[in-house]
Amino acid sequence: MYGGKDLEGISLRVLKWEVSFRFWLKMTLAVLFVMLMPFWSFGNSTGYGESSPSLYFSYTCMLFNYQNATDWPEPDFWFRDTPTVVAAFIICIPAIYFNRRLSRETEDKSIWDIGTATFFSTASLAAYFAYSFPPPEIAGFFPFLDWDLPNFASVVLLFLVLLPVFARETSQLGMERSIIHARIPESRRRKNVLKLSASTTYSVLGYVLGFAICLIPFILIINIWEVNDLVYDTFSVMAFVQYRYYESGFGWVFSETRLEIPSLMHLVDLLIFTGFRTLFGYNVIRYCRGTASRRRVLSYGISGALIPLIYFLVMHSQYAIADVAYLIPLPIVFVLGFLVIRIARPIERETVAEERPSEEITVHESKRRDSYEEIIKVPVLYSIRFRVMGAISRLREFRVFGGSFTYDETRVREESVEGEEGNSE
Amino acid sequence: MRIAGRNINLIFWVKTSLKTLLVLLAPVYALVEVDARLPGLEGYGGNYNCILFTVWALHYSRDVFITIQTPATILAAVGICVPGIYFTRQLSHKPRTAPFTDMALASGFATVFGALYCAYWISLDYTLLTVGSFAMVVFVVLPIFLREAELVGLARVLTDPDGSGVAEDTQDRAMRIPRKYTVVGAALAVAALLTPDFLMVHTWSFGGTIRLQLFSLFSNILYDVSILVPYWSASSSIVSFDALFMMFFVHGARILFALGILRYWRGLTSRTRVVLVGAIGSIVPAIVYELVQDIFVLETLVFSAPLPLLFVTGVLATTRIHPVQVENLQILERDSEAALQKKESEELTLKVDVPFLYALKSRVVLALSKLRREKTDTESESEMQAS
Repeated sequence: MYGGKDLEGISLRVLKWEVSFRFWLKMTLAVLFVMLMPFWSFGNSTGYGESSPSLYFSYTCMLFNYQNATDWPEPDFWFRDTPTVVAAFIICIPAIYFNRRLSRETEDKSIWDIGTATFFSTASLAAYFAYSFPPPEIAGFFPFLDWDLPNFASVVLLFLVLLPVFARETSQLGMERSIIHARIPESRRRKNVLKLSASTTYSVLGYVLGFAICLIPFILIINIWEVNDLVYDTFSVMAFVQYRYYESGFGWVFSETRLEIPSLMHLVDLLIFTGFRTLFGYNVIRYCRGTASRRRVLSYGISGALIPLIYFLVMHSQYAIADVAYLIPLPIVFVLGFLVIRIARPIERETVAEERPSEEITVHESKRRDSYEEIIKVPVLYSIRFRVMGAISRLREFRVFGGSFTYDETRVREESVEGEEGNSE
Repeated sequence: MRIAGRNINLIFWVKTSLKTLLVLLAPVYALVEVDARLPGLEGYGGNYNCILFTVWALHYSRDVFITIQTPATILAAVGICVPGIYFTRQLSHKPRTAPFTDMALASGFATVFGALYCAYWISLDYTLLTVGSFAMVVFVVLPIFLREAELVGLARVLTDPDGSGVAEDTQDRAMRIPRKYTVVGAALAVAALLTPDFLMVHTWSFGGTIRLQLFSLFSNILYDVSILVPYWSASSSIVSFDALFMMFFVHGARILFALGILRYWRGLTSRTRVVLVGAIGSIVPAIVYELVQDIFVLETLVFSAPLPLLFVTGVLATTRIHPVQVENLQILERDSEAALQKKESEELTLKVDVPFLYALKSRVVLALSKLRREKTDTESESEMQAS
């Protein structure tokens, strides 16, 4: 990339420094952005009929809290205390490390392990700082730092982990597209209207896609109390957006709009809402890259659209408080993703592999082919019975080589092979 | 064992369920006391608290109380073990020389979060925090130590005992790692977690009781003895996670030190480095506990001293036992490991006696699916040609 003629040691070091400087600048900005991102914002208006209503607005983020209303003399504004902000920064550290690893790894390397580690370390740091810091044995009182920290952790996971992963996948897609693009004759190429480099365009696309999956609502709930009170709830994955409208008999009108990013500790709810939709979005990109099958993507999409709906149906029938309630599913993400996989043509892996031979793919392929021919499916119960009987009879034949159990199986293998042949003949 | 195309290692699962049982039965808090202060009421007493049950034996009566935990809590305790079990399984599948850091981080933090989630958010029982630390030790820390120790054994076995040359039949030798290396690895792990490294002695003028308090990374041992009346009690409590977070910053270098000894024996690090880490691991707790004494004025304290037991033993171990000295040892280890893995995987795919009908049916299904695959392949080819 920087392969110039006169690249000596010093200038190379400068370039390295520049790269890491860009990374750290990006991270600083990202952390600042995450700290300023609201996880709880609230606005309502109260009034009689058409007369000027009183408006209320609140904005809560990790650095400050702002509240204002039209009939207040002055806005209420306070910064959070220093220990909380420091704790919030510490919560960001695993995500920053994750981004560092992401920027250094080769493109095709799996990031599941380190991603899982980041998820759980962020979550446990948030839980620790929120509920048990400082340790009561040392401090001598019940710890109380800030219970907003788990909400902040969700924001961190969304913006510093999920979106970079999406961006990585799309930028790889862009790279592979450009490889394919170079093979198409120039007369048939499409024009690059925006004049952006492929990597920038595609990483921006990834950010937009991830953000859309988290913000596009997936269900609309209308609760009606005695005709004149009406509540709209729209739920999306990470942010719950809610609109309420009340009108009482005396002409009193109340409406509120609320945005809330739920606490990470609502893990079960979050997995029910997020899990399959996020996987669906991720796999749509993978489908375009040619590494996921259409059937798999569709199954993710359908379960992502259905599971929250079923959950809400059950919950609503159990805990409904309104007189009349309508649940309207909004499968916007599913429809968009479906359109994408109908229209887009996946990249053929062979073409890419020719250009950039990847060892992992070939190994994987050969493994799959071998196992494809070997496996004979046997009912589970039969297999268990066979194994248990075999294990009992073979228990004597274990030999212990210095701490590690190893089978002495040559004889057993011969026997079983003979037995199988006898059966099949 | 193959079930629906999967290899299932029976030994591994038996071992794992025994380990899980160990986690469920491990003492969160244990106490033994002997009291002869009141005439007619003297006797032994005890308390044993684990996640499955709690037993109290009161020293002034003959009563024994047993309470058994709720099923939900026990289920949660087993659930906390799951990431660790997954890690152990992955570790046992991969070759011993494969990197494991990311995986260990992921499963370790999953265990931590599981414990915090069950204890604080669905608020089952605070004892679950301690179960989390047990699960971490049994399923994450211990396997790592055992693996490192086995690698030391492998390195020893591959070279001749006097370090003169390389053995030829690497595969056979790799099979025979003496058991003592596993024992040493486990002992090092236990020593890093449980060796006390700070002693505090308190006195209470009331009853003339003297309390000895021994701190280690994982446990806090109290020994109370009275001079005036015949009474003593010894108790040990396991550090729960909320304190363990702190404890890792205080004592964490000890684990690195113990791992460093193993890595030194394999010839991967220098002795200076290992000793340096050990020194940090024994100095930092001393400083922290001295500071704690100053901040939280302990008026009953009469004596406190650091106990560099692990450090002294570790330094002795590095000076007495010399590392393996063969060039390209790592490559040798990797190759023999790979050969061993290949052999094992060949041996482990045991064949099951299958009735003839099953085999026939399976073959028919296989042939049909192959046909279908070829059909789709030709279709896609024709599509390609059409476009």
